Amino acid sequence: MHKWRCRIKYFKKCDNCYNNIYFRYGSRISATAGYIYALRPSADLWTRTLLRQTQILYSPDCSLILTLLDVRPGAIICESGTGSGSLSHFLALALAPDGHLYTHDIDEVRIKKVESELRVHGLGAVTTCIHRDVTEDGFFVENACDGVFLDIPSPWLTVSHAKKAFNRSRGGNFVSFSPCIEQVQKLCDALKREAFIQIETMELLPRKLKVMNISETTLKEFSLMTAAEKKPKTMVNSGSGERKRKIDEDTAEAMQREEQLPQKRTLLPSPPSQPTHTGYLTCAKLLPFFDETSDT
Amino acid sequence: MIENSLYVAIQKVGGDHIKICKVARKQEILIQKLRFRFDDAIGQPYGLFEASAGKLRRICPSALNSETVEHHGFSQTDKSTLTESSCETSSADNNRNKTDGGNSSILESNSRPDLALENMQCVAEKLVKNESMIRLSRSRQKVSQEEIHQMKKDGLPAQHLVARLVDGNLSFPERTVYSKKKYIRRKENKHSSRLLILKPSIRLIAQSYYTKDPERIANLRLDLLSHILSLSAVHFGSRCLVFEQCAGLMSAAVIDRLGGYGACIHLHRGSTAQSIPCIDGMNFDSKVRSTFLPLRISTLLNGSIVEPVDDQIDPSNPELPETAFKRRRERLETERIAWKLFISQEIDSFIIISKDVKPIDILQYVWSSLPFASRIVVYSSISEVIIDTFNWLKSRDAIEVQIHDAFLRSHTVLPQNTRPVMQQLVVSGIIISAIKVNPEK
Repeated sequence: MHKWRCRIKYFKKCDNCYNNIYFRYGSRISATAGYIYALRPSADLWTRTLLRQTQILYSPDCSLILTLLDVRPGAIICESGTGSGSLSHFLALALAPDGHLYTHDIDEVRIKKVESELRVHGLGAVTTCIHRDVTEDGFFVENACDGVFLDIPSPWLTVSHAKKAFNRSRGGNFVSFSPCIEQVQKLCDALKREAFIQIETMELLPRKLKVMNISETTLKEFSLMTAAEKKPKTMVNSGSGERKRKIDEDTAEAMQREEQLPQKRTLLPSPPSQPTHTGYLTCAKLLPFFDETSDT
Repeated sequence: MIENSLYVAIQKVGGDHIKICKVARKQEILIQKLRFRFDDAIGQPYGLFEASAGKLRRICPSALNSETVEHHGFSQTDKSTLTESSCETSSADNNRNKTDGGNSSILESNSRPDLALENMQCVAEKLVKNESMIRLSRSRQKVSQEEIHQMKKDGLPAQHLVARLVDGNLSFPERTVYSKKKYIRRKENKHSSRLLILKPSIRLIAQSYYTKDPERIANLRLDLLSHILSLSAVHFGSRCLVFEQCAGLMSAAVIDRLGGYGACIHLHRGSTAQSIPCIDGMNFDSKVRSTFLPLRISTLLNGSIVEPVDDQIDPSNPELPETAFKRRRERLETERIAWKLFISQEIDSFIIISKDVKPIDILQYVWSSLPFASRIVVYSSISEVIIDTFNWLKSRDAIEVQIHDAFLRSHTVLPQNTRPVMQQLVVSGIIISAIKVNPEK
């Protein structure tokens, strides 16, 4: 956890970029063009910056999956497939330092890459990466897990293996991510067959918004306006990402307009194109079960 | 293991309400018209139980599957009956005949001689026909309400009760196969005596409060609660400052993620942290609970800890003041730890769940004590509050200022009936997140 948590007053030596230069998290550092900020790493920042080998799960879905699995320090979680390791970082950070993540993938090159990334990020002690096809060979551990997560094409073929992976005296939570509803149907049938309870399927549609200044005008003013005058009074974008110069102009304009009438603002979706589907999340719970004493 | 005086989550099988309550002997619990006592469940593992005459009996989860098999068999029998008679098959597929039932031929024979009568008599006939249809509708179920109550009182198993209702329904044989399954499922859910007794978790508590009374937790839905935890990067070892107006749910979620490492500083009104049932409901052990550090708002406003005078000794009750003294000393010691973390700029993240307190007002008191690279997450159901917070954060050079909301919906997944649930709670809120940075080079 050295790179993730620096306890010496947030000072950190960055060997790769600046030799022998110390800076504090949150500091502004000059670069060849302008400046940059150095931020403390986290799972959701990693999700936004990692090099993608596969389609990944993004922060809102990852967040919900962690809550549905009841992940906390000390939890033992099995995951398949690993993919690019986006969710793996969320899981590993949430169950550290006492828990463990067993992540399985069918692609050996992919699993090795994520394994080295987790090690570099200081999460190697709480993760085990396994090259395995869980639909055929099952999971690396049995009678151990508090949670199982699946993001594979045929999750219904793995439900019986998942049941074996759960700790029998504690039971646990099962979550699967599937883009297609037909996959969900097959999975729900398999879960019912294996006596899972609280089987629920949900769909999460996150949305990003930004603040917009509203510039209103009356019909009379509009008819008196020429096309040239119209431009300065269009809606002013005060979202992040604006250049500093433009921000100053906007501020001046806003102050000028505030003298005339109170400024109105609203929230609009931004960017205009956003995901309308990522996948269905199916979650279920396995009650503690003891095969030796079946009292049906 | 279900223990006395700990909290559990209860859910009736087929019901959608989850109830969080404390286990106590001889206490009667009512959930969706199901009445029982906890006594027989104490000492048992969490799982599936059946309530019968007020007592609980543990059953195996595979019992749910055996019931499914039974009804599948019933359905098969029904199909074979339909194939034997093409006339019945035709009537089962045509629901328009359902209202008339078995008495339709009698009605036809009665109406035939009246065809030649005048208009007045025709109108009267229609009225008579309507009345008889109403009478038929009422008498479609042979089992009366009193009989149902009596069977329940006698402790008859739910599946037997449902079987009796199916036998007693006159129009049941004429329904479509789909309609039959739906009828059985609804009766099963209504008269079910099975319930789940589960260990409480953040997910179950959040769903319980959101379903029961979302306004009490500031309309904070489970997916947004989860997203706030990720945006504030809460994990073991984090030191998190929380101001919330959602019954302790956010603090409970933070404490759960800390797992006994780190700190959750909880700003609260008055002398002690109250109105936090979600924290109590989680049954945290002493190690995990030790990360919960209440901090009085008055301390924040004053800029220092105000220690109360200790000369309020009541000589008539020598023991009570001593206990009160001890508790107060412990409280002050905890607050000292919280306050030291705060003024030493050791907070990693700051979470505000706002219902009616302005987040800007809170941020103004806290901002100078937040270190660089700390994360700020503010939640509110009101968009104007988020817009004002956005402008305030921008004016203080925070970066990564992002605004999120989300839409979450549930789906029904059943054979030949897979679709989104047609009506569900959609009220929620908006999240704004930011990172504080050093504006100077």
